[in-house]
Amino acid sequence: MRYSIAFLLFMLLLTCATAPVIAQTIKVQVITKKIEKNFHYKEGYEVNIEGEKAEVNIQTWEKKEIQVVMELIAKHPDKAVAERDLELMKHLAQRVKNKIYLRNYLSSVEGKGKSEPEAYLSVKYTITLPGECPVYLKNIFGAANISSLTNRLRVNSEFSRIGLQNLKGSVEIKTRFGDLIGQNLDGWFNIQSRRSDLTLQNISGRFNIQAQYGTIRLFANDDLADLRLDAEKSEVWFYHPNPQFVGYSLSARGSEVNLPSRIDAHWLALDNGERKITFSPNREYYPKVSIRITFGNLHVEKRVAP
Amino acid sequence: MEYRELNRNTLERAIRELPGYTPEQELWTAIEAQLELEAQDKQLRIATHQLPLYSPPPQAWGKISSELEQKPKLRKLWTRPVLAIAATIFGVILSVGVWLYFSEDTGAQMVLHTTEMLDVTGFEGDWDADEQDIAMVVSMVEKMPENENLNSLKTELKELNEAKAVLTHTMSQYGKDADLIRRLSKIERERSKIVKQMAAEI
Repeated sequence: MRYSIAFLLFMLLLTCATAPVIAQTIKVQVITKKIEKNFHYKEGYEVNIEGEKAEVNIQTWEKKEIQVVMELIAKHPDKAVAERDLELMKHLAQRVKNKIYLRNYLSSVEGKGKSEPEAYLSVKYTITLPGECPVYLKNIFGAANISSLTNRLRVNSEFSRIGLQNLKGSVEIKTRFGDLIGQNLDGWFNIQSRRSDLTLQNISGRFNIQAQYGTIRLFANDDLADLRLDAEKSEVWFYHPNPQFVGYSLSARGSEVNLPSRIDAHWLALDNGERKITFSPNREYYPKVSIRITFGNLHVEKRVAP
Repeated sequence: MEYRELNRNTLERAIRELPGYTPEQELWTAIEAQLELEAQDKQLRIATHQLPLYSPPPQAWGKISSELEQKPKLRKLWTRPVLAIAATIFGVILSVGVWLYFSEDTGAQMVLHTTEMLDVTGFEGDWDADEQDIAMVVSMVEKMPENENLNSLKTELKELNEAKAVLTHTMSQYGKDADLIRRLSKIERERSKIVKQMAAEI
């Protein structure tokens, strides 16, 4: 009897616990307007994208051609509403001189007695281009996956997730309220991040990062030449395969710094509350890492091979 | 060998220790053949400059100029106007075809219709439920004497409030989705931290 009451109580508890997480799904009509456009590529051309609530995928191929596939998507249980709201989404794919402009935006609702669309709206870009083609991307409330570019990339992003893979050349990233996730990055990187989290794996080349209010994880490889990081109110992890063979110039204010025990250096306390440390390994060539951390934490650790 | 080197002995020792390699037997033969070819080519170029020059007889020039002075006979290309019009139309069509083929802008557009199940669990927003309490804390902080920490908290809260406003506006335009709600939740967590710090200052 006691067991059966306990079992009933357990079942009741389980029901109460699972009730709020029962998935609520609705059947929606999906209307997709698909636009395909091809442009011949010439040296000096640049692809210039301004996306809004857009998922932008950029990949490369061997052809001297830029292929753009734009999908404007509207979802609503009522097909007529989805079709009507799809018409509010405007797009542009046009070459003007040496720039190929790609845009999407929402036009205002006029004369319908309503102020906002009712359907779930989103946009997807799939852009395939030569690796050497420079790219500028501005995106708000979306996502970007960019791979295998070799020349110049500039990204200005808000409230978006940016994924970078196998990049070379000159890269400038500005991110606000977003996430930056990168892998196999080699070149000149300039990153300005605010209220964004950064995770960069297998980085080499030169990095200059300014960050506020973020969690920053940098996994360097042996080819990292130079890293300058100015982090404010941020949590920073720097991993290197041989952290003892790296030259450090660290400065911390109101922050905790954890260094590997093999780095034998002493802190120098300044009058303004700042602490400094410099360390050069006994080697002819070594990567130079300069980190300034303010009101945050810095952890330098050995990178363990995955 | 003469050179200016501080660690001369080390350099000489290193040079001595460098491995030596013997080229393949055919390599010398190939180099000799190439050199011989180049020498022959040079001789040929010199010989062409030494070739004798001959002037044409004067009557040759007279014959050429008399042929040039004769008026050319024009022949009518299209004897029938219908053929001329047909050729023009064909030319225009061909030109348009070639232009379209080599044109930079090629593309297509289509509209597709499908259905899917959309998970809308937790999409009903409760993110404005505590705005009154937050406003109360802010109004109390506004009455306090200013200090650096409070000013910094106010600036941060303003930035987060603006970010929340932009996000909720986007939700009303494009509809809610998991990614937007996740970003809004993060902003709300950061706003909560700021408001709690403000409340601690009261």
